[in-house]
Amino acid sequence: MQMTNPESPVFDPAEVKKQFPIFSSHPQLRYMDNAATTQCPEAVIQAVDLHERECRANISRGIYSLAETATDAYQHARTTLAHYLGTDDASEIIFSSGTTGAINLLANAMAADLKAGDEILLSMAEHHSNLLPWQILSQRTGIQLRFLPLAADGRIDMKSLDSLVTDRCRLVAITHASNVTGAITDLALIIDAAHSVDAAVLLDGAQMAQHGPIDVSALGVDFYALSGHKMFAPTGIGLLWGCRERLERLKPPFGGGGMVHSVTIDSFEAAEIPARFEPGTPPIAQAVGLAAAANWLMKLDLAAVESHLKQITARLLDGLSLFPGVRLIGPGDLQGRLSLISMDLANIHPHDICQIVADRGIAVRGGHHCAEPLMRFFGLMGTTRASLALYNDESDVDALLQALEEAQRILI
Amino acid sequence: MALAKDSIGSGQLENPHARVQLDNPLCGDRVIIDVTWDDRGRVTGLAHEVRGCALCRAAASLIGRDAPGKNIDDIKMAKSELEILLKENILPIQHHWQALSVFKAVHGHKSRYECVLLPFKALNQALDRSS
Repeated sequence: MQMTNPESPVFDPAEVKKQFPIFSSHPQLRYMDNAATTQCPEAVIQAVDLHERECRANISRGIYSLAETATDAYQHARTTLAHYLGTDDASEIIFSSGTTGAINLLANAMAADLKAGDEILLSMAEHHSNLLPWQILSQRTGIQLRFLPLAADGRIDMKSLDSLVTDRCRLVAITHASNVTGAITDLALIIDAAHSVDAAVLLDGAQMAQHGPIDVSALGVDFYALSGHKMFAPTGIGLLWGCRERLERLKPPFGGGGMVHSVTIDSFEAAEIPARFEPGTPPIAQAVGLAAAANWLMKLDLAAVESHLKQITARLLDGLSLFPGVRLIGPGDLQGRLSLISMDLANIHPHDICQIVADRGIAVRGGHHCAEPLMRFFGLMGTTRASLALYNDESDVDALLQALEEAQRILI
Repeated sequence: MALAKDSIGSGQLENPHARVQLDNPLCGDRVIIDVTWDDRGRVTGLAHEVRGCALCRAAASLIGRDAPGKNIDDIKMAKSELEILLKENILPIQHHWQALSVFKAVHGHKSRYECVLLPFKALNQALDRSS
C-alpha cells in the first residue's frame, strides 16, 4: 500500500467535510459518487442563497440598480471562471447548462462551417456527451467520425494517431479524463497532431474540473467544456471556453434575446462573444454559484488534496486487489489517473452491488456510466464505480471494501 | 436470490407464438421472452433469456415457474398488480398471482422497480399478440 510521503502537506478531510451541509443532514452518508455529482460546500450554497435573496433580477437590460447588481454578479462570475481556466479574456467564457450543453453548443455552431467529407476525431473512451452531439452533426452534415482506439487498460492508444488525423480533420474532441477508467489523457501528441492540420482541439473536462484550476493556455487546446455540478457548484451550469480566434469564427447556432446587436424582420446582426452564444436569460444564480465553487477550490492547498486523494485511491486499489474475481477497469496504478475506480466484481451485476452497498449508507454508481461503446470495448454491460473526492477519507474506503465483501458474499 | 439463481424457464422455445425483446435503457438490462398459448387462452410454454440484475432474473424466473398453465388475461393483469405492490407495498385485494408478493422487499427502492417490471412488460407485449 502506498503510504503518504512524509513531506506531503497535511490535509484533513474531516475539516473540509464540515464545510458540506449534506453531511450534517446525512451523518451516516459515505458519498463516493463524485464523478456523477459532487456535493456543495457552504460557501457555494451561501453565494447562491445571497444572490437570490438580495440580487435577483434579469441581467443586461434593466436600468435599475438591482438589475445592474445582478449583471455585475454574472459578469464577475465570468471573470472568475476565466481566472480558473487560466485566461485573461473573460469573453472567452460561455456559460452553458453543463458539459453536455457546452459540447452541443459547439457542435451546432460548427455545423455551418463543415461539409461532407470533413472529419472529427474522437476516442472510444468518450462519454455519450462527447459522442452523440457529433453523431447528430454527422447525420446532419455528412462529416465522418473517426475514433482513436484504446489500449487494454482503457488509455488512448496513440499508435494510429498520425493516420487518423488527416488533412480533412476539423476537430479532435476528446476526454481530458475518463469518467469510467479515471485515466487522464496524454494530450501532447494529440494536440500536436491536430494543430499540424489546423484542426481544433476540444477537451471534455467534466471529470477534471473538480481537481483544481485548468490552464488552457498551457494545455494548448482550443475549446474546453466543464460542468459545475461536478466541481462543487450547483446543477444547471457549466461552460464552454474557446480561444477568441476560434469563437469569433463561429456563427451563433441558437437565437433569442440578448445575443444580437440589431434585428430586422428578415435578419439580425449577432453580438460579440460571448453574448452571441448565450441567448435568453442565463442561469444567473448558478453562474454565481459556479464562481463561488471556483474561488473555493482556488483557496485550497491543491497539492495536499492531490496527495490525500492518491493515498485513499491507493488504499482502495490495494483493498480491491485482494478480492477474488475482481477486474479493475482502467489503469492499475496511480500514474496519470483520477481518484475514481471502476470494477467488475466476479460478473455480479453492478446494480445488485450498488443496492447492497447503498443499504449500508454508501453511495457509489453502477451501470454503463453513459459510455456504452467503452463498455463494449471491455466486454461488460456495466461497472461499479467509486469516485472519491476531497471529503472522503480512509474510513469511507474501508467501509466500501467491507460492503463490497458483503455484497460478494450475498450475491455469489 | 433463490429465484434469481434458479433461473427457472431459462432458454428459448423452438417455435414460439411470440418472441419479445425488451431493454432497460437506464442500465442496459435485456429480457427476451418466448411464449406459446392454446385456443383456450392459456399459456402453454414460456422461456426467457435475461441479461440483467438479480431482481430482473428473479422476476423472469418467477414467470418461468408460474406462467405456464395460467390464463393469458390473468397474466396480463399481473404487471399492474406488481406495480401497485411496488408502490404501495401491498397486492390489490383481487389479485391473480399471489407469488408476486415475493417482491415486497423491493418496495421503497424506486430505482429498482423497473428491474422487476421488465420481464413482466416483455411478457405482456408477447401476450398482446395472442388477441
